[in-house]
Amino acid sequence: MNFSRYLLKRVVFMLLVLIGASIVAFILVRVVPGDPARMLLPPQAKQEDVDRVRIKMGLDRPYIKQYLNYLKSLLEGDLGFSYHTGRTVVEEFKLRLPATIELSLLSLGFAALVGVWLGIISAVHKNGLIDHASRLFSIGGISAPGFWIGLLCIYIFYYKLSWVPAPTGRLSLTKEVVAGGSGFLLFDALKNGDWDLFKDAFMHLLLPVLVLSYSFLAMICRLTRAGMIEVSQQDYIKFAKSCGVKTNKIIWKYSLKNGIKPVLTMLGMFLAQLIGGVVFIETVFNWPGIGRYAVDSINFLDYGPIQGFIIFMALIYVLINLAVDLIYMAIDPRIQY
Amino acid sequence: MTRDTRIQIDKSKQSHRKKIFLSNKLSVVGATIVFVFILIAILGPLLAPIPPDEINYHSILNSPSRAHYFGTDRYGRDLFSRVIYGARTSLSIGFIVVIFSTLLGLAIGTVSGYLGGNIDNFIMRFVDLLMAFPSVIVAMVLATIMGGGIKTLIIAMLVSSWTGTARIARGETLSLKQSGYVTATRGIGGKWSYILFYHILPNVLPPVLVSSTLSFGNVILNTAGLSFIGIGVQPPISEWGLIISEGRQYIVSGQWWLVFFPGLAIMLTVMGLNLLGDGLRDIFDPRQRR
Repeated sequence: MNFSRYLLKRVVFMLLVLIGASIVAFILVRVVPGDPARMLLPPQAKQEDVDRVRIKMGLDRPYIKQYLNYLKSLLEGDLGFSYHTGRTVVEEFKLRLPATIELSLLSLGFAALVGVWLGIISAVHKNGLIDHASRLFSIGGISAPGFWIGLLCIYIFYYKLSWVPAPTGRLSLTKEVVAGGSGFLLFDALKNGDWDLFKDAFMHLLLPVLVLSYSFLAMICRLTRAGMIEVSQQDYIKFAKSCGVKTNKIIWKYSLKNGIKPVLTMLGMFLAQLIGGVVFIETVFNWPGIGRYAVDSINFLDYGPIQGFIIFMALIYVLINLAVDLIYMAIDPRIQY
Repeated sequence: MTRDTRIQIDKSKQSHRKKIFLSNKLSVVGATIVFVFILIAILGPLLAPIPPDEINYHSILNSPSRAHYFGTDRYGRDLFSRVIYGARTSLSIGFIVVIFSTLLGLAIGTVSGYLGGNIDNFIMRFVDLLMAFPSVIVAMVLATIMGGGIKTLIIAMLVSSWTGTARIARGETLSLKQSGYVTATRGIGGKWSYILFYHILPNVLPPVLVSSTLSFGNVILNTAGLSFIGIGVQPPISEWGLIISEGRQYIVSGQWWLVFFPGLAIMLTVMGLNLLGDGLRDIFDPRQRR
């Protein structure tokens, strides 16, 4: 199979995922109890007004037409409306997205760097003290719920030791987000040279990032270790060794590229889990991101944002998986599609 | 082969497997933990000193002591009893989900792999599609439609957990389909249902059981997580995630036991199941043995 055909296949699958998500989001609002038109109006609204809004919203038309309309509005970048806050879902997401992106990207980066590094060390010292310690550490990360570790960390590092500020979200209550900034607090603070703000944002990020990255770090560490050990038994590594190539060069230059492949294969799955993990961690740390927003919306029975959340997550998932495929290809030129 | 020698071979195979399992200390530890928690769940009412929902306003938020091993919560309920009853909730939800998702995944995976062709293609794309949605989101959607509760929780986790089993079952079936004894049976006119049940299923079962054990741990983690954010088990049922969520607000004022003990129970159970699963994999899947 050549590359363009493979790419076509992937794109078709991506579209299927997105269409699936849009159908789920569409059905969601149709099966929940309550009339969407009535929800938009004050409780004392007359039936005629409700009917008028129904017609305006297109709720009197057949489902297929309604779905096509919904699909059209999605393509126009309209994710719906939040009854609870009276703003569009896109606006709400824009407000919260930087918080979630900051949190998840830093966590993923930290997990990848430390996880790969720890995996390599464990593989090099196979069955040594470091290996056993890292195994124990990993088993804990895979078995313990992230929200529990988060709460324990708050108890230890905030209540007992006062090393970190109270879990009030991204900043202390006395600090304010930079107006007109990008929303990425660390970046904004640096740009404005506001050292106090940077420190505050950093200290608030510390625990959530460490806790969110723990389970990924554990999985990445185990996979890297397994991959590195497998590669180290291959002929080309043995040959390099017998030629007297330095150990460090063998590890970083020859083994790592192949040893890290299992991690890449699982990366898509990790990210799906990261999306789930974000929901819990944001709840624990009162992080004003889209994960906590989705949970709040369910509790308020605010369907618009839930719809938007489903579509948005499907989109992210699809894009990430495509990126993983491309990285995989860049790292292993033997792969022919 | 005579019957006797066959039994002998079976026996030696069995003892060999036992040896592998016992030689891995961690998997023995895992099996023990799981066994203990199952016992706790079964014997719950006998072990709990005080009924888990007995409210006592004279002992609100007591720290762990002789009278209350794990302390008490804001209603003065005994946390030790609640954590014990939590084992019943978590393990029974886990069992139900794992049994049904294993059966479903096994049936769909083997049939899909055996039939092959377009049907297989279609089913597997559907599985891919389902896998694209994180279980938290599936649960959120269902909770919005049906409201929170154990039923929602079970359905949500079934939807997102049978796919893994189906993939494994299908993969194994694909390779078994090409094996000599299956083609031979087909050659002498064996019915496909006979082949599926007597030749393919017994061989597909071991790897599927390993993955089921590992997914059991995941189900328990998810049950706790979803109950924690309020879309799983609802109060006043004792469930580990729910107990943590109820004790969450007290962590910043120093009442650590409300969060600590139920979480410890989750961690130990999941760890036990993971270690047990790893041990079983070492037996059934020599390729992945460490």
